[in-house]
Amino acid sequence: MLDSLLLHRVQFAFTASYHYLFPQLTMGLALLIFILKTLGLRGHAWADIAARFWLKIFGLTFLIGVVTGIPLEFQFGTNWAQLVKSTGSILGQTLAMEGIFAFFLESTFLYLLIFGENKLSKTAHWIVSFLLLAGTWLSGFFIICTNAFLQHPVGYRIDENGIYQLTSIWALLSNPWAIKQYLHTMTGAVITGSFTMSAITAYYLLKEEHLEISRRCLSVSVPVGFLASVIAAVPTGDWEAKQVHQYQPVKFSAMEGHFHTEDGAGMILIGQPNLQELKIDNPIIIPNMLSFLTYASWNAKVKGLTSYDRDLWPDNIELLYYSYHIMAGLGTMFIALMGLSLLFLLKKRLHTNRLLLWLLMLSLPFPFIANTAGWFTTEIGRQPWLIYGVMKTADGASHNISEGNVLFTLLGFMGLYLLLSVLYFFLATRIISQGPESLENLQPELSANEGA
Amino acid sequence: METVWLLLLVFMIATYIVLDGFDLGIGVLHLLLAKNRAEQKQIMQSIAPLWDGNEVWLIAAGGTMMMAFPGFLSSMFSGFYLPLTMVVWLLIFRAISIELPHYFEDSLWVHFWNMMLFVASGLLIVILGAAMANVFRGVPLDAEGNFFEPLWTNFRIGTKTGILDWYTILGGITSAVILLHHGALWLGLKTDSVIQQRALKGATWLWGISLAFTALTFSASYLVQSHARENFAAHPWLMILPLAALLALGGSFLFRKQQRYLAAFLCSAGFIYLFIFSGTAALYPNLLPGLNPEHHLTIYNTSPPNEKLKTTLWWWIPGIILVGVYFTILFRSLPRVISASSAEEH
Repeated sequence: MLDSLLLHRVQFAFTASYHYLFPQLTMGLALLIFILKTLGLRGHAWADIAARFWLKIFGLTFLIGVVTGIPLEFQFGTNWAQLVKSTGSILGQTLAMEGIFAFFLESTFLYLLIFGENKLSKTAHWIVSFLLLAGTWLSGFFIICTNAFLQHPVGYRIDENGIYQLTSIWALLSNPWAIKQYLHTMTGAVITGSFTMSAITAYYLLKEEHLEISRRCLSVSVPVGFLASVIAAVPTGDWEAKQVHQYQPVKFSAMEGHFHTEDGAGMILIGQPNLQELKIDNPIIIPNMLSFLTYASWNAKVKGLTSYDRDLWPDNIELLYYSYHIMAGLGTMFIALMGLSLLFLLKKRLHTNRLLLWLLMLSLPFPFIANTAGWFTTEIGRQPWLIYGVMKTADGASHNISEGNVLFTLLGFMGLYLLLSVLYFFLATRIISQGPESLENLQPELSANEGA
Repeated sequence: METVWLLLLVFMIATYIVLDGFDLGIGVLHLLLAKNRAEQKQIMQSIAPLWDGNEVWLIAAGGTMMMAFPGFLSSMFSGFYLPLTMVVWLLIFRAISIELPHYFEDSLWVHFWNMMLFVASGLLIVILGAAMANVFRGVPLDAEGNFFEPLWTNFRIGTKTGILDWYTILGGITSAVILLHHGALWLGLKTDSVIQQRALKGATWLWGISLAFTALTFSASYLVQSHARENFAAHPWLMILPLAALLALGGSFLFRKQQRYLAAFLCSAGFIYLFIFSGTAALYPNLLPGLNPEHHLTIYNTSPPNEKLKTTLWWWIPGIILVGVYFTILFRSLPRVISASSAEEH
C-alpha cells in the first residue's frame, strides 16, 4: 500500500502542475492583449480585432484556471492541516490578499473587457485591459510570496507552542526570494503567452488563412517572445540560480548533478545521474563553467552534494536533475528559435519562411513543459523540507486521513482533470478554427498603416 | 481582537452565501422555470457575469479564516476531508456548466450542461446547509483538535455522529429552500415577462416552505446545542438576532406583494445574514464545538494569540472597500432588467 504522505504530495503536485498550465498562459496573454489594446488605442484598428480573438482563448483558459485553482486553496486545509495549524496565520495573509486584491479585480474586469467594448469608451476599455493585466500579475505575486515563505522563510518567529508568528508583513511581501522568483516566473509566463500566439498565427500562415492579422500578431509576439526568452536566462535565471546557491545549497548541488566538491567545477550539459556510484554517467561538461557562473571565478571551489548530510538530500535527485536540465535546455532553444524568427521578421521574410513557421507552430507545448519543469526543480529540490530548513514535509501533512481516502480523491482529480482537458482542447480547437474576424472592412486603414 | 475577526470572517462567509446563494438557487430553478432555449438564456444571463466574482468571496473567506483561525481551518478541513473534496468537484462542475453551453449549439449538449448545472447546484445548496449544521452540532474532536467523521452512522445525534444525521439533513433542506427562495427573488428583480411571473409564483411557495423549515431548524438547533441554550439564557438580548431574521423573512414577503422586488431581495439577503449571525451568537465563543466540552475549538485556542491580527486590519479594510467599488462597477454595468427580447440577441 502507498503511504499517505506520498499520496498527499502526489495529489498536490498533480493538481498544482495541472492548474499552472492555465495561469501561465493567461498571465502571458494578458500582457500581449494589453499591448494589442495599446496599439488599438493609438489607431491600429486591426489590433482591436486581434485583441478580441485572443480574449476568447484567454476567457476559456481563465475559466479552467479558476476552477482548478480552487482545489489548491482547499488542499492546504484538507491535506496539509498540520502546516496550516502552525503557519496559517502567515500563509493565510498572502492567500487572503490574493483573493481580496487580485481575484476580485480579475473577475470584475474580465467581464467588462469581454462584454464592455461597445459600452465603454476606447480609453476606458484600454484601462480595463490594464486592470485585468494587473489582476493576473498581482495574483501571481501573492502566490509567489506564499511559496517564497516555504522556500526561504522570513518575517516570523516560532513561539513557545510551536506556532509560527508573523513578525512583519512587510518582510513577508518583500522577501528577497520572492522578488527574484517572481520576475523569473512571470518571464516564463510571457514566454508561454508569446509562443502560443506565435504558434497559432504560424498555423494560420501555413494554412494561408487570416493572413493579414496573423502577420501583424506575429510581429508583436515574436519580439516579445525573444525578449522574454532572453530575460528568462539573463538576468532572472542567473539570479535565481545564485539565490538557490546562496539559500539552498543542497538543492543547488543536486539540480546541477554536482556530487563532489571541486575547484574549478564544470557545468554538466547532459548526462545521467548515477546515485549508486554518485557520479554522472556519459556527461558532456563545460569545464570550469559552474565555478564561473556561481562565483564569477573560473577556479572557485563549488561544494558537492556529498559534503552535506544525506538526510538533507532531496528524495528524488534524478527527477530534480532532469527537470532542471530540461528547463534550462528548452530555455536555450527558445532564445535560438525566437532570435532567428526575429531576424527574419526584421527582414520581413518570416511570414513566408515555411520552415520557421513550422518550427514556431510545433514549439507550442515546450514553454508549458519548461515552466512545469522549472516548478518541479523548485519544489522537488526543496525536499525533504516543507519550509526550508525549518519544517519537514512529513510534519506538515494531515495525519488523520487514511491513505485510501487520499488515493480516492487523487484518482477523482485525475479523472475530472482528464475531462477538463478533453473539453479544453475541443473548445480551444474550435475557437482557433473559427479564427479572428475578417480585416476586409478595414482595408483603407490597413494601407494607411502598412508599416505596422 | 479575536471577536472582531470572528465577526469579519462570519461577514465574509455570509456574504459568500448571500451572493453565490442566488447563483446556486438559480442553478436549480432554471430547469424548472424555463420552457425553451430563449427563456433559459434569459435566466442564465442574470447570473453569468456574476458567479465568478461571487465565488471569490469563498476564496477570500478561506484565506481570512486561515489567517485568523488557522487551528479551526486545519481541523475542519482535514476532518471533513471527503465532503469538502466533493464540494470542490461540484464547484468545478457548476462553473463549467454555466460557462461552456455558450460554445455548443446542439440541443442535446445544451441539455446535458443544464442538467449538470441543476445537479451540481442542487447538491451544493444542500451540502452548504448540512456543513453548517455539522459545525453547529459539533464533531468528535480529540484533545489535539482533530476528528474524522464517517459520512453517516445511524442518523442519530449522539456519541457516534456522522456527517449526515437527521439534524444536518434538516439543515441541508433548510438551506436549499432558503436559497431557492433567494434565487427566485433575484429573478423577480432582474427579469421580466414570463420568467419573472413564474419565478415570483415559485417564490410564494418557497417563502412558506422557508418559513416552516427556518422555524424547525431554529427549534431543533436550540435542542441540539446546549451551548446555544446557555448563551441565549445568559444574554437574552441576543434573541434580537433570530427575531430580526424572521422579521426580514417577513419583509421579503411583504415587499414582494407590493412588487418592490429590490427591497424583497435585500430582505432575503438580510435574513440570510441574520440567520448566520444568530448561529454565530449561539456558539460564541466556540467555532467548532466538540462532543466533549473540553475539546471545543474556540476563537481563542484556534487563533494565533498575537498582535498582528490588529495590524492586518490595515490592509484588510481598504481591500474590502476596494472590493465594494469593483462590485458596484460590475453590478451597475449590468442591464437593470434582462428582458426576454434582449436575451434573444446574445
